[in-house]
Amino acid sequence: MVNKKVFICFICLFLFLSCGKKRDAAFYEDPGKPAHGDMIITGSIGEPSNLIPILSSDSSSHEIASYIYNGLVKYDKDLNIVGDLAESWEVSKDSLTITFRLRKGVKWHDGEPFSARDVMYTYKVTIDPKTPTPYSGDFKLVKKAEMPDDHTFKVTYDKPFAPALISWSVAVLPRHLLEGKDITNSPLKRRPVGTGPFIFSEWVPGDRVILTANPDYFEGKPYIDRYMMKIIPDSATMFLELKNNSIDMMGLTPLQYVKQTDYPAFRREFNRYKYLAAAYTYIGYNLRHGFFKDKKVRQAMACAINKQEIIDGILLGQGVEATGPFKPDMWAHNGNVKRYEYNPERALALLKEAGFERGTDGVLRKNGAPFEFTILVNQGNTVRIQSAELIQRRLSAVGITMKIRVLEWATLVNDFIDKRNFEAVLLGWTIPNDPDPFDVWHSSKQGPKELNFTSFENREVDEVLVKARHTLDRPERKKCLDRFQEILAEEQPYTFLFVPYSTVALHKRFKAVEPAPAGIMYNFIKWYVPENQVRYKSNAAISR
Amino acid sequence: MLRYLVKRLFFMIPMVFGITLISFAVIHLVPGEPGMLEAEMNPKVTKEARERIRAIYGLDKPLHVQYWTWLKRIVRLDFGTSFATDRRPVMDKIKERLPITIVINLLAMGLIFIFGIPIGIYCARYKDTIMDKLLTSFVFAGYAAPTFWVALLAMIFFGVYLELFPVSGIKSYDYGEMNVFEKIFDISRHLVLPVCISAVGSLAGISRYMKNSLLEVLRQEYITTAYAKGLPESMVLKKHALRNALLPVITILGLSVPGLIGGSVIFESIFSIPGMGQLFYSSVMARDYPTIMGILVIGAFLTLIGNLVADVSYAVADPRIRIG
Repeated sequence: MVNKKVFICFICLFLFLSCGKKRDAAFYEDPGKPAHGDMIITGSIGEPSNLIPILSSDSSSHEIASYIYNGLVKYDKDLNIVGDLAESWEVSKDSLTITFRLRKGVKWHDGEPFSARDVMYTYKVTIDPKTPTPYSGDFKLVKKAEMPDDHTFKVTYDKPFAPALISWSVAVLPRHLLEGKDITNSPLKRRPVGTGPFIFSEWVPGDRVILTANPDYFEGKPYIDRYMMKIIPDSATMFLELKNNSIDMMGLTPLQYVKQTDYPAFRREFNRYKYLAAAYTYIGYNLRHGFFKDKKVRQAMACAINKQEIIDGILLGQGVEATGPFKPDMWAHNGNVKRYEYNPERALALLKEAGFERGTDGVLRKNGAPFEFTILVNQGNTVRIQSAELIQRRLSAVGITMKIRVLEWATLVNDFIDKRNFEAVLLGWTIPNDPDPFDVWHSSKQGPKELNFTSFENREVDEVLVKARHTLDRPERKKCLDRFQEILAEEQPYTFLFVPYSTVALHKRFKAVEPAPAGIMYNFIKWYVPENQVRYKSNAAISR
Repeated sequence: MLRYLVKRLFFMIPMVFGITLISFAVIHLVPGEPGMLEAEMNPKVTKEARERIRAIYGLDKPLHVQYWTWLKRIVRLDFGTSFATDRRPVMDKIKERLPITIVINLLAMGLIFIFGIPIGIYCARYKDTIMDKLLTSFVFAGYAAPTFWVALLAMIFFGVYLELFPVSGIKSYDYGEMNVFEKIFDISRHLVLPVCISAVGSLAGISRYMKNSLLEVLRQEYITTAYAKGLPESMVLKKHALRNALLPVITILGLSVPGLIGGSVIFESIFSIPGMGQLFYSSVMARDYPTIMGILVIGAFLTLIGNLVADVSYAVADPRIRIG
C-alpha cells in the first residue's frame, strides 16, 4: 500500500516538474535589449573526434573548433575576406609575398600572449611529415615563412596563388602548449586552448560538449554565456528534442521545414531561417564511356531532365536550379551561361543528331545498341536516391533506360569511382567559398584518388583555371572563371541539378540573427537573449 | 569435473584466435580505410597527405604483418590506439561506454525475468483462456514491433505529449548542480523509457520458454501424484512443478552474458545513449580497426565464457554430460 502511495507521489512530481513552460504567443516577439547570459543548445548527429582541427575531418569537430580558435583571416557575412587574428595584410606587387600584421594584446585562453611564433608553429606542424593531417596541401606551396618581429608574419610563394590568402584562415594553434610534443597525443585534442570567442569547458563523451564565453575576447565577450553541443545520433530523436524545446537549433530537412514544423505551437517558439547551402548536386558522366563521349548526348540529357520538378517534388521547393559549379550568390557565379530548359523534343532532336534512332518499341538505339546505362548513388542520401528515380522516369519518356544502383559510400568511392568503373554518378560537391575549381576540372587531376574522376579534358579550361589560380586581382580572376563556366555550360560534362537551401530552426529568444550568404553563424558572438526571455539562468551544466 | 573444466578452457584458446583471425580478415576486406572516409572526395586533401596517413597507421604493410603486430600486442592485453582521428587508447573508449550499457542491459534483463516468468507461469496454468491469449498476443506484438518504432511512439507520447519522461540522453543539463538523491532520481527518470522498451521486445522469448517448460512438467506423472495426495494447487505449482521447469530458463541466463556488453545500435542511437552499440557502429563506419577488433575480442571471450558457464551448470545438474 505504501509503495502505491510513493508511486503516485512520483507520478505527481513528474507532472509537476514538467508544467509551466507555456508562454503566450507574443512573448518572444519583443526584441528587448542585448544582455549577457543564457545558453544555446545545438544538436549534432556525430560526436566530435579531435578538437585540434588540423587532425580531424568531421564536421562536428570543426564546428566546435570554429568557436575556440581563430585564423589569421576569415570570411565576413558576404564572403569577403577580412582580418581575424591579423589586423591587416599586404600583398607585394609581384603577388608573391603576403605580410600579415597581427593583433596585439590577444591572449590564449590560459593567459599566455599570442604572437607570430604561434603562427609559425602552426605552419610548421602542418607541413611536418609526422603529422597525420589531410590539410597540408595549401601550405606546401609556401616557399618561405618568416617572422620579422613578434607581430608580423610573412609568407612567400613560388608563383602567385589566388587561394593563398584564405588558406591562412586555418586555426592557429598554441605553440607554448604543443611545441616539442607529439601533437597526436596532446591533451589539447580533448581539452583545446584557443584564442576564440568561447573557452572549452567540458566534454562528456558520447553526450555533450560545453563551451563558455571568453570574457577577454578581442572582439568583445559574446552575449550568450554558454554553448552546448548535445550529441543525438538519431535525426528523428533530434527532431523530437527540438519540438520538446530541449535543443535550440537544428538543421531541418525540406519535409520538416515545409510541413512538420508549420504549426502554431512550433512557430510560437521557433524562427525558421533559410539560405543557399554551399553545395550542389549533379550527375557526373564518365566521359570515356561510349555514349557520353559525345557532347550532344550530354546536352540532350540536360534537356530531358526536369530540374524544377526535382526541386519542387523532392526538395519541396527548397532549392534553386544549378547552372554551374558555383552558387548564385557568389561573386564568381556567371549567370549568363547557356541554359537547358526541360524540353524532351529538343533532347530527342539532339540525340538524333548524335546518331540515335527511336525504334517502334520506343527505345533509342545507335547502331543497334540500346541507350542504357547505370547511375550510381550513395546509400543513405534520400534526396539523391529520389532524384535519381524522377530522372529515371523522365529519361524513359525519351527512350533511355537508366538503372539505379545504390552503394555504400566507401564502396562507391573505392571500387567504382577510383577505378573509373562507372557510367554515371549522382553526387554532390560542397562549394568552397574561395572559387578554385582546379582540383575537380583540370585535366592533370585524373590520377587515382584525384577528383577529376569524370576524365574531363579541355585545353581552354585548363588554361583559364591555371590563370585564375595565379591571379590575385579579382576582376581578372572573375573573367577567367566566367569563361570556365561558359565552357562547362556548353560541354555539359555534368548535368548540374540544384543548389539546395539550408533550412534551420532556431529558438525565438535568440535575437540579432541575420541570414546572409555566409549562413547565420557568422555573427554568433553578437546574438543575445533579452533578460526577461532567458531560459537557462544558473551556471547549470558547467561542472568545472 | 576439474578435468572437464580444464579441457574446456584449453579448447577456448584456439577458438579465440580463430575468431580474431576471421574478424581481422573480414574487416580488412571491406572497402575504405580508416581516417580517410570523411576526407574522401575532399579537394583540400592531397594524395601525398593520404599516403602519409596510411604509413602512419601502418596500412602500407602486408595484411599478415599487420595481423602479427596486432596479435603481439593483444597477448599483452594491449588493445592499441584507435585509428579514429581522436587517437585514444581503445581500452579507454570501451571503458567509458561499458558501464551504461551493462546497467541498462542488467535492468532490462531484470525486468524481463520479473515480468516474463510470471507471464509464462500464468499462461501455462490458465492455458487457452482469454487472458492467456491476450498475454500471448501482447508479448508477441512487443516482439514483432520494430524497436525504433515503439521507441519513437513512446518518446512522442511520454516525452513530448505528456512531458513525463525526458526524450533522450541519460542526464539533465543541470546534472552537475544536483545532490546525490536528485542525481539518482534524474538518471532513473532518463532510464525508464529505454529500459522498459528494450525489455518489451524480449518478454516473448522468456515467457514462452517458461510456459512450455512448465506445461511439459505439468504433464508429468509426479504432478498427478502430487495432486492425488491432496496438495493445494499453489503448493503443487511452487514446490514441484516450478523448480523443475526453471532449469532450462536459468541456462538462458548463462547464454545472455555476452549480450550484456553488446548494446543495440538502433536503440542506443534513438535514445542518445553513449553505449557499446554506438561505439561499435561508429568504429565500423570509420574503419577503426583497433577498436573493432578490441570489441570483437572482448565479445568473443565473453561468449565463450557464457557458453562455458551454461555447459558447466548443465554438467552440475546432469551427470550424463559430466561423465561423457
